[in-house]
Amino acid sequence: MVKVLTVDVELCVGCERCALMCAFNKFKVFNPRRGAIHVVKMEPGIDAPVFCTQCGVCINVCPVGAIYRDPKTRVVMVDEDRCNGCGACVVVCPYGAIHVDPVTKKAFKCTYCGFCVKYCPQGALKFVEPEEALWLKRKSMARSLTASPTLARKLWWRPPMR
Amino acid sequence: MPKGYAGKILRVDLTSGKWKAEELPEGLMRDFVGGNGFAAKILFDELKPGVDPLSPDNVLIFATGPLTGTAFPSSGRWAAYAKSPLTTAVWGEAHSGGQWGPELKYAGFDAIVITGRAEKPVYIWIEDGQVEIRDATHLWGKDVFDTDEILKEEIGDETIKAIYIGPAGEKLVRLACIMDSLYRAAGRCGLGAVMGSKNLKAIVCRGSLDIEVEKPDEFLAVVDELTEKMKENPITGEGLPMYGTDVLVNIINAAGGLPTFNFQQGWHPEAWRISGEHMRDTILIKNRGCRFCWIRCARYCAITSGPYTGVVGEGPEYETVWAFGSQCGVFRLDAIHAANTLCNKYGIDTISTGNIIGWAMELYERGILTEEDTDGLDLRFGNHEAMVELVERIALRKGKLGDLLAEGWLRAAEKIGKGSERFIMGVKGLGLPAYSPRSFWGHALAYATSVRGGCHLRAYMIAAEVLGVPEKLDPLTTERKAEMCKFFQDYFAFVDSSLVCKFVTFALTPEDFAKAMTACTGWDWDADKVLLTGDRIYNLERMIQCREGVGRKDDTLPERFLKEPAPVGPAKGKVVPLEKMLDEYYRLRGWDVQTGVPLPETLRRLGLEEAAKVAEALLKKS
Amino acid sequence: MKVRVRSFAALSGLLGGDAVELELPEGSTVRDALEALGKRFGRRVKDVIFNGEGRLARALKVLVNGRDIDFLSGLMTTLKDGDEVFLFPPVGGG
Repeated sequence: MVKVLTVDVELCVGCERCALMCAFNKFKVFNPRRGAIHVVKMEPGIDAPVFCTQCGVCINVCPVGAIYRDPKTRVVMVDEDRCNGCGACVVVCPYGAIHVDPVTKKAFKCTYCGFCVKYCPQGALKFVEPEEALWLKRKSMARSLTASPTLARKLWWRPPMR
Repeated sequence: MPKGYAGKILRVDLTSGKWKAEELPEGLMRDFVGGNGFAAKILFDELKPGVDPLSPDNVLIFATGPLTGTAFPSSGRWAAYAKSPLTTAVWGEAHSGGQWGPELKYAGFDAIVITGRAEKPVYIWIEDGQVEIRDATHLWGKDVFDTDEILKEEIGDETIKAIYIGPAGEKLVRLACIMDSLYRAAGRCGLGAVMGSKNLKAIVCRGSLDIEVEKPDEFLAVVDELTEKMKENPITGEGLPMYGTDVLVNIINAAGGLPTFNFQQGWHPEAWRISGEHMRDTILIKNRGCRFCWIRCARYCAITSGPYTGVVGEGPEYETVWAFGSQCGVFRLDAIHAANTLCNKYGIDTISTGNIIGWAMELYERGILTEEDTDGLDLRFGNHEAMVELVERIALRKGKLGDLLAEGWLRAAEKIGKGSERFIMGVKGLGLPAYSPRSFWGHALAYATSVRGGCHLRAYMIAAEVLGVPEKLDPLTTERKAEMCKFFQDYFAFVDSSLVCKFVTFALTPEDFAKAMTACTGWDWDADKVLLTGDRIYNLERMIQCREGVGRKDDTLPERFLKEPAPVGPAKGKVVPLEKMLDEYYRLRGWDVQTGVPLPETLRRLGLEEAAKVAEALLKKS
Repeated sequence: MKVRVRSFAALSGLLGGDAVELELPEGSTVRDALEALGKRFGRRVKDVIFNGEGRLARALKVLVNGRDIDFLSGLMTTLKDGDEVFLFPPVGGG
């Protein structure tokens, strides 16, 4: 049963509940920095969660073979028994979606646990069929490649009021 | 050591430039919880009566609570406390949403207590238990937006969370607020000026420490239950996210309670132009939420045509819409959003500033202020250009009028004379917010008895009198108002100490808080204990003001509401029967009916022995 | 007699946008007015205003000239010419 985690960024309000609950599900503490989903919040008005797209670039770069793809779900997983916290995966990840946890010293990435989906108050995060996910993925990519906070600041944000 | 807390208080003395981390005493957590409770205990013990609020002797406290930064719905808040330079209430308190509250806990501290004054402008840097007091002379004079940008660049990290004062706080404007990032404010009581008087420009946090709860699985189950309640509740689940707090304009106007032209009346036919519905149809871009919020009631608006084109940012909220809207006779959202954004930029409270401009407008229309007094500004109600211009002049102390109003109503009225104080719409020197007392008598009682002055948040009686939460009370009767007012004050004192957003109370009960607190701290909480603790905290706050002479004589309302009948609307012909409700309120509270001072036996019942001694001395004197 | 009805907040679109004018016989009550709305706009509006047992939906607030009908005579409150009836869902704020 293959589903894809997607976000509709138009709906994100930057509340970071996803990051909080992700870290809580994994480590049973409240510390959004330790989550596997990261909310980018910049003015003016940019709110967007960034998470693993399961692209798999990290799989081959791991020197100890600790990263693999689950054949049924297609989700890329970290075998914590093998991981030595070297951080090679962190270097190559294009999205900044994998990091070495400061406490466990193991690589941590999104495992599709679904907490972020459950706890997003806006319903911005969803598991959808792969076909449905196409447009959302493309929209996210277009936004990240073309949206410029600097341009927006110059256009909007030093208002010509005074 | 119970879970939920970071476990430490940070003490900073800016005169010596020294800081130290103190273990949180167990008694403080057990009996006073956090937030308001911490501040009440610390200010009662350490703030000397008679201190000048803008002197180094004022004690400035920032606090969170055990639920802050956890998965409890809407837990991303913090509050500031000190003796207020604006009011006669002594107790100064202001809460804020935004980002910073949880970050303070992740950085290792539940609260900060600041004394003294730095020799030169500084900011405080806090990271994972380590603290530095850094030079801020290059930031002094910069507005909030610029300060945020500069600091993030020089620190090299855009994910830091910070609170700031703007030029208004630096210039000791008594209406100055403390800003969380760019758009959220701890607005009331002039605490920005206290921070400015200490030469403290900002407090910046970066935290990567864990916050734990005692029973994680149970806590999660409680969170799930409470979140369901909030989703199903039409206020928190639909009304607020869709329309924001501005959804109130139409219903409060319909009920004849939208203060217009400085509270001269409570209704206006053009009010729909500044409603949440109209905002959604015109300038709204999207909603937004404070950190970890379940409700996301914040607005994000942009003005794309007209004289205010280019104004973009969060807001405006209901209170702000009222303050720069019907209060000043202005019925256009673009001017309101421009005024709102200027307040954020300069760090000044929107409610107080709008209220005081409305006051100045009434004085101008009555001829008490002339064009010479207003530096040429035509301050007739409805002149939105003059209103927006005056916001900047007050924030920066520009011109005669700007500098005068920057001192707040009481001091300005003293200078103006000519009976101007009669038109001050405030209690204990704090300008009233967006609900007309003559239309909501329980809310009027709340204004009169709120510890920090004319405030709608210690007991949000509108919930009962308009919304029917927890039950519906007729706004134009005195029945059960004192009882409900006390209930709200006690409940909210607890909410303000566990330190989460009050809006959860539209859906959640003291029982819900007890369940969450038990799973969080590991101690046994129940609904009665929640309310008793709130009662204790409220009484201690009250004693802080009573020992400096505040009492029944100050628990009053402007004459307009006691003597002049409402001219239009459902409350037409009525005034507020305050004294009757006040007598009943004092009796229910266990306070002396003559003086409004808590009785020693009440304080002893709440475990406040030191306060009881002070009360005994006060009552003997009177 | 003529009575004006408006709906607000999440119910804004309920009556098609602006105020609705109802022509009612003298002495009509709030219930009569709401039933007239149900007839004019159909099921969609009827289901919002009334619950299954024909009573007023619990979450709905009805004001007549600014007064909540719970403090007048409820659904039996008599209306007169020129009265304004407002329908609100539960709303709250600060």
